[in-house]
Amino acid sequence: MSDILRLEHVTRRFGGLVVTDDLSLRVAVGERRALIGPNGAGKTTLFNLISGVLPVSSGQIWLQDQNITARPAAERAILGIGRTFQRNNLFAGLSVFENVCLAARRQQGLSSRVFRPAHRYAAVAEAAQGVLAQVGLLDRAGSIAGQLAYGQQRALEIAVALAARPRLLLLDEPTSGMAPAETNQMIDLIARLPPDLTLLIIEHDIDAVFRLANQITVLSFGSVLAEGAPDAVRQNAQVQEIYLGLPLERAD
Amino acid sequence: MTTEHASSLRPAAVLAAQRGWWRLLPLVALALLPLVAPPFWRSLTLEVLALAIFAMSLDVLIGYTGLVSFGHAAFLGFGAYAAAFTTERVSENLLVVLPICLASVALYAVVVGFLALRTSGISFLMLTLAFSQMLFGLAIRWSRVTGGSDGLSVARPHIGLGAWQVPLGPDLDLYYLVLAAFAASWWLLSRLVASPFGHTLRGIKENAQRMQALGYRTRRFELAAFVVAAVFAGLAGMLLAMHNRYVSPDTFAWTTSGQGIIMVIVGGAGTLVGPILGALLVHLLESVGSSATESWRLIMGVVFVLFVLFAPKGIIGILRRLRRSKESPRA
Amino acid sequence: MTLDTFVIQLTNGLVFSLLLFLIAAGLSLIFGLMDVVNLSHGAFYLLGAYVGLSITRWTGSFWLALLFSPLLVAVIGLVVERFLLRQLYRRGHLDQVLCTFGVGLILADVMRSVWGSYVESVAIPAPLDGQIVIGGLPFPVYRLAVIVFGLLIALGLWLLIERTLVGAMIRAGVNDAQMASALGINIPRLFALVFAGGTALAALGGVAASPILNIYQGLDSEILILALVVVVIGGLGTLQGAFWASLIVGMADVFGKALLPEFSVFVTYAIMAGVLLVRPQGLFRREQTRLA
Repeated sequence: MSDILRLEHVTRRFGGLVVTDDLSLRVAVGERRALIGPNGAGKTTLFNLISGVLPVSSGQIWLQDQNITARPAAERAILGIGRTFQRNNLFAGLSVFENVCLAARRQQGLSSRVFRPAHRYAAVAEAAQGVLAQVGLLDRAGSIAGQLAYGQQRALEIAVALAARPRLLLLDEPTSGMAPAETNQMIDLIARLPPDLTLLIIEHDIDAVFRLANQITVLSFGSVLAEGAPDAVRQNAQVQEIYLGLPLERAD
Repeated sequence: MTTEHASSLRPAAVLAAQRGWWRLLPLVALALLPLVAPPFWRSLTLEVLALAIFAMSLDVLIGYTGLVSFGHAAFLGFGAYAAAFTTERVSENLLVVLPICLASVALYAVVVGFLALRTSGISFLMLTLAFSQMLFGLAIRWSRVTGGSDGLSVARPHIGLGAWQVPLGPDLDLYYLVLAAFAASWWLLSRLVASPFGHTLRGIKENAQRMQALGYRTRRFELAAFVVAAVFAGLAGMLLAMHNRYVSPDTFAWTTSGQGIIMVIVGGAGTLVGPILGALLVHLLESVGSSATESWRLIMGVVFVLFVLFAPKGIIGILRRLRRSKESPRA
Repeated sequence: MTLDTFVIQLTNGLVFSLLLFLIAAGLSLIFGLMDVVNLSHGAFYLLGAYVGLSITRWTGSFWLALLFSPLLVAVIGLVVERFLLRQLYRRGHLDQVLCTFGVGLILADVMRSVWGSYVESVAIPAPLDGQIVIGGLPFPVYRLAVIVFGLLIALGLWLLIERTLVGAMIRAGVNDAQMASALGINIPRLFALVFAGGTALAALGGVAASPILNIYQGLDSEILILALVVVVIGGLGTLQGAFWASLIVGMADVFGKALLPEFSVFVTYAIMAGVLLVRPQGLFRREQTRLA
């Protein structure tokens, strides 16, 4: 099976601080890979490196057979990397519908048209409605994004990323700050995503991790501590040591 | 379900289309104005219309893209000087002058925009300011070409196509030229801001980082907006120069850029009507106020500070708030 | 250009550079701490010069003007910070910048009505009104005094920022205002202090420059623009950057005017454009890298 994402000896320093340390990683097409690890392990930094928000200090990043190490964030998105953010990072002053449209319009290559009113592009509206229906926000399409309830904003965060039709989607703590009921809805939503969409998920909720992931990578101090199928990772002594006090058993 | 929903999202557009005809009323009024108004008011209206083009173009940057330029006068002045050079050295035919002016402004804007957009926020503001000051200094010092602080005279152009020639002689013809330019600018810019491109700009203003994560090369869009805004400002500068028959370095002064910002903020950023109202208010204050009181600048400063403090969304924001509070008891 | 004229231009450049530094340092510190470009900074400079002019005329003493004009202007700065800018803290920096622009307009008009539109100048104070001959070249004493004074102020500012408790608070605030606030530093008071201090520095520059440069309406924007260029080249918020960039801009201005009178403005802005192409954040500002 081919890899969709390959990191080769990626290092990122901030001044003297090494946050990502000679990290190599392969993710296969269609995988649901969870990234776990204690705070400060460099998970979000890794997302920033993959999505191009931060440049690497050294090493290479490949998306299928393309070396994207030097590509800016926007180009990586065009090549099919989508992401969500740990803290809601929406177009807070625009409508829910417009939030999704911005992504759909770019994906359909219409975002620099200058004459016809934006709302006349039916394909964009259809795509946007489809994605909103998928995350259960269709009835809120007209609301201002910044005025949605927190959990709905988390869902919109994913909808915006999905509307750009990525091949690889990076989800940064999709359930963070959610009530248990909302968390369950969110997990269902993610689980229902099409199987050909590769997911890389940072998640602290260990229950969510085991429900969603078919592969787990454990990060510690910027490098890979353990990797494998959920059960194997659960048995790993080192991982248990890191998560000492945190039950790695499923909570049910 | 899809179509049903699409239509529920569209009432605003439908309403706008139905109401569209009465947007033309002000234009009709403006077209009839010279028949009744004395020359002073006609000339004042002409100036307001040209300044309104300038203010609308600045608002494309400030209100729609979120780029606060403090050097937009550079393009107003560039258009004005380009008009002076072209009418003097190339042709007095408007059909030649206009494209030369606009193209040269666009070219200059590409260079400035490319440099200034390497930064953002406050640095962008300062850079645009610095670049306009550069032209200001050049206009004063390079007097062999620019006429120094005396400025240059500008010929009234004519419109010529082969043997067919229409002189733009007395003020009346120029008034209608400016009115036509205003109407065209308003129409083009309102199409632009409603288009996908306009929505892209608004997305950049809201959250440029997220736009990049969605695959937008934001700097290209910003540069495009910058150049578009510059071209319309250049058009306004050209028209004002033809009206005054004269350009001076003061066009480049940072206070001119500042007045543009005042028009946008006081009128209401992020709308096109706002800057038009702002241009009307500021220019009335300047031309009528300056004859009535010495301290019209003081008044303008105080008005501006009050708007920044208490009504940052400008006159349009106040009107919207009033309308909402009128509607809400019924709802 | 002969060696003699070169040395004299060099001195003039140094004088102008250090005056620029006084103004740019305040602008840069205010920006570094409060994220606000104070567009009324030039007006505070001119106000300092005018108030100094009036004090000199009333009392006959330039030295009283040099002392009291900055203090008076600082009080006005304090009022502006307290009653205008502070209202806008929550609203974002842009509104504050616009507000300072409005304040600049108001001050300019007030100055126009109080002091009129004449070109004014101040006599060089008596003990410094002469020349000394060094190596066969005559140097005006006052200009040399401005150089020494400027260097002393630069040193004093550096010591204040690097070596005192107030300086430590300012540095903490520049790095992270929220964190500084969490450590118990009174941020509003610190902002007020720095804003007043910055305006006082501008006014000090205005008084010190008045025997050399004329005072006139419109000087406020000329000075503001030059100070902005300095701050952009040096890097926003760094004192060191303000110092070295002042030297660059001051020298470029003086030598540009001597060598390329028509294009001297270009020299300064070309330097700025060049710096921006290579280092958009300015010469002395480290690239911001946040962990996240």
